[in-house]
Amino acid sequence: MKMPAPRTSPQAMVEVVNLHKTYGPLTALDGVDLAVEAGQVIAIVGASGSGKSTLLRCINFLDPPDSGDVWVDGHRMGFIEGGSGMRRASDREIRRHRADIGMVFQHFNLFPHFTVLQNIIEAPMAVRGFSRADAVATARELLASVGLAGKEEAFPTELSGGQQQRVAIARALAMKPRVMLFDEPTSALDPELVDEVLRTMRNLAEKGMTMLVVTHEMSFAEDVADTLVYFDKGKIVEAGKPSDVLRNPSQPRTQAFLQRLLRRTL
Amino acid sequence: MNFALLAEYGPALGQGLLNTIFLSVVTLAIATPIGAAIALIRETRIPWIAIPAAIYVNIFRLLPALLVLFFSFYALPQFGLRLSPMTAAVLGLSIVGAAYMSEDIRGGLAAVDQGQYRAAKALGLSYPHIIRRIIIPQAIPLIIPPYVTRAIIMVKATSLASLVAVGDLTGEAVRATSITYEPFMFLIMAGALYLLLSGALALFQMWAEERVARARRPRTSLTVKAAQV
Repeated sequence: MKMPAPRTSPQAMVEVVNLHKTYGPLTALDGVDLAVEAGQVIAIVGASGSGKSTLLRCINFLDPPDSGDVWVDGHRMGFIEGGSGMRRASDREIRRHRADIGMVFQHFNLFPHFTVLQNIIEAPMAVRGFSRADAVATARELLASVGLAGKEEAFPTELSGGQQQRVAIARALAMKPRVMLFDEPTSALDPELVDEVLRTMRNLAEKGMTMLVVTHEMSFAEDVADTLVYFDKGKIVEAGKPSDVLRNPSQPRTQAFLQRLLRRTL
Repeated sequence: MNFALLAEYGPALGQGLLNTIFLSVVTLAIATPIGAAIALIRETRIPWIAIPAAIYVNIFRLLPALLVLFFSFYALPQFGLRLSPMTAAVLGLSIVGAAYMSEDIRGGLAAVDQGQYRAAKALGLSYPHIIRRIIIPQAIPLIIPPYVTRAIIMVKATSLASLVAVGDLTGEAVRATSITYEPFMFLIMAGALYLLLSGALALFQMWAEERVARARRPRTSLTVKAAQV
């Protein structure tokens, strides 16, 4: 069993060490290192196909990385510490740890045959073993906190895109995750619905949630994120305070990307 | 129409109809769970079970059903396995039917958005739970039309059993014809009875699709409320 690579930030909530992932001939992640402190918000930007979404899927082992390590809340994903060192985790153990990491998708992916309430309580009951009463109580609180109190019995198709995405956020939060991953959460929304979702995410950040957000919303990144990371060809090219990276990108590739983005926005 | 002949051979045709119904029901009852199991096995994409399942499906999907029936009736006795005509027919038709049916069911399972798997997995749900609670309920409305079409094809294919000495509806109609030289009357009779049988399945399809559509349609009051918000 390969020993884990040394960590540089053992106190971090999420630490990614020398992560590699290929799909056939395509290199999606080419040696990514990233540390996220508890309560921090990281905005991840870059062109499509640069590996941002792959990074999120590798962090929660939806797509296990080829090599490198992912540490979440002191636990090495995909491994279990036994008496005599590390062993590979079983599918069941991976699922248990994955449940500690919430994920929100570009296309919401609510379960269309379930009501809003059932969408939220399904996993807490099946995975966490919560009683129905507890799960429902938590779901109601969460729905209220994302501004959707009273929508318990609605079906996803009866909601707007922004409402659906807020339900998806509540569904992820119902698992009481330590970290939240957002994969372009507003990219599929009509422009007038983007703000309600960003507001929900901002509230969550203010409550101290550790968040990794893949996004094209630069103003959100600048206002909310502690660090902005620029991805290109499977590598982190530039990272720093969002306002610094956005206003004075040091790397030519970052400059070119931001200029393209700016042209599109104007 | 020669009603005297019809009265004479009516009981035989009736017995043929019962045999056809028996063949249809038993074949569907065997092929459906096997087809569903094969579809689910192939969807797991776990090589050591998915590859044999794919080989099975492709062998029996690509062979003439009649050849498989002949094999189970004529060739198995060479290995000491002598089956009655009815058993041989049920075996052959079920094996072929399950192969086809698994393709129809797999098509429905595969048509469910991959994002549903990802979202359910991200929540920590287990694969069996995802299949049972998330995927199958969404796949069923997609599976019903091709499934019932396949069931109708399988009911009609039971007529092949007449070629391995089963006295099914086709077999009895052909026998009466060859004795009386009245093909028109007996073949029309058999055809009408087949129409009744497969027609019942077609009606079931309409009922099932309507039921599924009603279950999935958002209730009107809520739609109105959602529109107002």
